[in-house]
Amino acid sequence: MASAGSGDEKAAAAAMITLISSDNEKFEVTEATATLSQTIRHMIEDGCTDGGVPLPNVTSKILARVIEYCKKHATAAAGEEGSSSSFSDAAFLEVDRAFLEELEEFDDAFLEVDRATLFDLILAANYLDIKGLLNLTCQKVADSVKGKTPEQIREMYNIVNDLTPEEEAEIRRETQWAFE
Amino acid sequence: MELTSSKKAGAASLPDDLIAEILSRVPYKSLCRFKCVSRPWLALCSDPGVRRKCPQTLSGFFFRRLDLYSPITSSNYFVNASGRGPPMVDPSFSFLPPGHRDAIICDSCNGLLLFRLRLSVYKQIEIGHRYFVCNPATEKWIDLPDTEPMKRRYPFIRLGFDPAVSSHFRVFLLVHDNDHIPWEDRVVGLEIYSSVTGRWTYMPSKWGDDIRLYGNSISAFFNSTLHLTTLGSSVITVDTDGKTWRKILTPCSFDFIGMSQGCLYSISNDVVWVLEDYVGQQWIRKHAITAPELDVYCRALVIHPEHNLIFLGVGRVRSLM
Repeated sequence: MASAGSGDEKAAAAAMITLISSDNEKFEVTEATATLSQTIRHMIEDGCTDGGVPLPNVTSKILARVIEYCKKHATAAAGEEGSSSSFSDAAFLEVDRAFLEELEEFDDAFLEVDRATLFDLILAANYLDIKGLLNLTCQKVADSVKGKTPEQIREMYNIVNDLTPEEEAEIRRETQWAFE
Repeated sequence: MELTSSKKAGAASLPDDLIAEILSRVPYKSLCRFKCVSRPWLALCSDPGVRRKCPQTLSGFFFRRLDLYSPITSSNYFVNASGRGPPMVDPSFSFLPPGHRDAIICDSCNGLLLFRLRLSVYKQIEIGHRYFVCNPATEKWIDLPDTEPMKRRYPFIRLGFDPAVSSHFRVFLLVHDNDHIPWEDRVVGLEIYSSVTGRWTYMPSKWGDDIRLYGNSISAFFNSTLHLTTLGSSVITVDTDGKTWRKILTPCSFDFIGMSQGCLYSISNDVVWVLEDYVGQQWIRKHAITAPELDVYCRALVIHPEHNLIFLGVGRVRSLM
């Protein structure tokens, strides 16, 4: 099964890309890791990654986390490709399941961050166009707000209620079932 | 920090399109609640794109098991589309008044159910029908007012509801020239019930002459338009306002239609067709269904609105959602 070790070995042979954060920190990553971002993939395809890829919207703190996510998930993608032919179906499924569980654990741990970091990750995932990361982070926020009352939402996110009392009463009447 | 409109951009606030990404991942019930958080949230929670993507509270099949010894006590069942977990709704509809609980589901559309209630049965002759529309998620229902075509022995009635477009629904009731045999009577008009006005409106048919349908013709409602299979090689359509009437020619007589991924699909003699060009009426032969391991009679019940998935029924199946 694919592990971090085998991923690193592959990385040594693969082409490297330099990512530059908004605060000018440089990160060396493999192409496999970087191309989880559709934005960077397109830049590589257009041949404009020489001298590094500047990412003026992403701080080094957030970029480090994003790279951590991409490394893990790029290994997952490589692991699937590499092992599918060398195992019998049953064995492959078994390995696959174990790996998916590991990946899930990684994702859960990855999401253990404060709210500001989570929002920054959403912004970065959106800017870099990393579908998996955007889905993961948005779902985390969605899970934290579902079941909450409008009052709790306003308090959680400092939202000013700019609806008139009449408007709010009207909406509540229309959606009364949702409050029961 | 704020989760609010981009206008008040703080260090860690999100633009509207990303708040929409989050809101499209909360349950429908939460989405309805969040409408009264603020004005920007009201707009986001009412956005058709968000409402369409948001996980619906209901997806599964209703079915009735007929008790041969005591047909009166036959009851409704519900199975989730995933086939797992406890039923998402109480299939006994215990929230309905006792008289309403004996009703039969005759159509469903995006989470709403249309029920038929036999008014009275005397020596096997049905004297009339009553209809009501129910939302099992909210446990609310509306009785439809009586109208002439309901007195047919086999009224042809369908529901039209799209929560992404409006919280109001329509009911379509065909008007025939006669009340002899369902598939011989010609369609001459249509009554549309609107939950906005609470009234039926009659309009004469603009589909042309000689439109005949099976009593259980399969229908599909999407793009605010009802689509019906006819006995001829056509699908007839009408929009919720009764303004646009169309007759889409089909390569053969279809016994099943359904909407998936924004396109009209159809199945006839185990061949799946798709209407790729809606305006140009171009049907494309998609593929043939083969079920060699199932040596039984099976037919298409419903097509998944978002995925490449068709639910096939084996044997006789009645109501579904």
